[in-house]
Amino acid sequence: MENYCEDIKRLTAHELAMGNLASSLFQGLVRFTNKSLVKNLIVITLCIMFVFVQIYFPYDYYTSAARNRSSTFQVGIDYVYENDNITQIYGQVAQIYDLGFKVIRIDLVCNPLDNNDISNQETDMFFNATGHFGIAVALVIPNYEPIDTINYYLNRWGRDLKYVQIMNEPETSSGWDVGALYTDDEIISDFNNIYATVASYNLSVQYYTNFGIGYVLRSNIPVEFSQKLNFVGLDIYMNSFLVLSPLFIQNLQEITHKNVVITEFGMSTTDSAAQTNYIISGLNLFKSMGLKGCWIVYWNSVNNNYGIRGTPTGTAIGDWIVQNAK
Amino acid sequence: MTGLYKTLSDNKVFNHFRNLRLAEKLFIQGLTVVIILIVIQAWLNGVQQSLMNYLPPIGLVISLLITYFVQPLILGATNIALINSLHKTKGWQVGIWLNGIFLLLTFTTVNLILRVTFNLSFLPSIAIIDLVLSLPFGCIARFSNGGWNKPID
Repeated sequence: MENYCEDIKRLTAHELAMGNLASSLFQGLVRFTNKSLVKNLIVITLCIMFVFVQIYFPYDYYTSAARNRSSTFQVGIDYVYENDNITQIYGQVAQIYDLGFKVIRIDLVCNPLDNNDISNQETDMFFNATGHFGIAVALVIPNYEPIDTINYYLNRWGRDLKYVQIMNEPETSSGWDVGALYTDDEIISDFNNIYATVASYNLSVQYYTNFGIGYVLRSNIPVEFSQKLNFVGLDIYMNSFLVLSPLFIQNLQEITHKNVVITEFGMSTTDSAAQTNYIISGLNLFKSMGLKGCWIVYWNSVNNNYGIRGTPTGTAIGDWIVQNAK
Repeated sequence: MTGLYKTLSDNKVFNHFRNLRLAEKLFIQGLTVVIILIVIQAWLNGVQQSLMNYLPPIGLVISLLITYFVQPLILGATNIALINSLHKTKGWQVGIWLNGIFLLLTFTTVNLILRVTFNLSFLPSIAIIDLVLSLPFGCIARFSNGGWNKPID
């Protein structure tokens, strides 16, 4: 019994000593952190940590697990058919269709001066193929396209279009010469001219304009344009901007009040593994974020290494579409 | 004891606040800071489009100036004023802007995590959660700055 009492006393004394130690440690910590220099350092360190959290958290969250599994997601591809032989075009569209792409994005290519010009024949061939396979077509109207050319194109192929892109990354383009500022007035008046031209055809198309990351410096342009658009496009290149893309997408949605579709997404590299990894991680990210779609650049390489045609990247994207896109 | 400090010390309301328990003081501090943050954030969200369209890029610069300079100054000044009033201290340990930007970053980081994780909108969902988090926010605000008990001049 005496031993037991001794043990209890020893234990209580031990607990008391530990309690005092914890208390004095805590008070010491409070005194230490209450010093002005230490507090400033802690606040600055936490500020830096918060900045990193804000940069990386959205990307990590969306890529850490597959979310929005049941949402519909449309994968598209940019096809520069004018760089292929006319006899190839039909087969290429068939291949694109087989991989599961739902949209093909093309540049406005035609010759209004000669109905039978080779470029018009290629465009005819392209629309024959997309009509046969039921693939939607997104037409890019470049910033300085003459109105006569647009009229010719829409008269001839307008009914085959599903999406019309009015201007291309206007916020970062040059004005009348390389390096000249494309002023807001120029951009907005050009946009209005092209929009009015397309709208006069009463086509059952959706309008959009794509913006690069540079839109953050000229946010008034997407805000102004969005009033006439069905959705806005965002172009993502480079890993750094892929990591930051959730922030840009959310910001673009907030200022335009429109859905965002990734209208250009790709990597120019000869390293197929890096290209595959980049594109697949992007597709996972955009689907997890609940976006409506992502259009990849390009099907065929033109003076660069973006093309996924006949590469392991193309096959990997096809597999991804089968598993993830509806 | 002279000037504003003496006026505040003689004020019955401030004396009442000083006699509150620590948790109550922290809650009042947190609530005040969170309300200021919510009001400024909601106002900025409301005028964002107008600011972007105002004489570009001047509107963007004004927006950035308000968000990252004026807002932290308001927050930092309010926070140290609350600390000095509620805890009978003078002066400050952390600069007003730094203290304000810290509170702003804490607030926006919490909001970002809530928005991304639960897909919530700022008004009213996230704002309500922020109000519920007033007490922890008060602890952070109290920790992030402090005055001195002794006379500083």
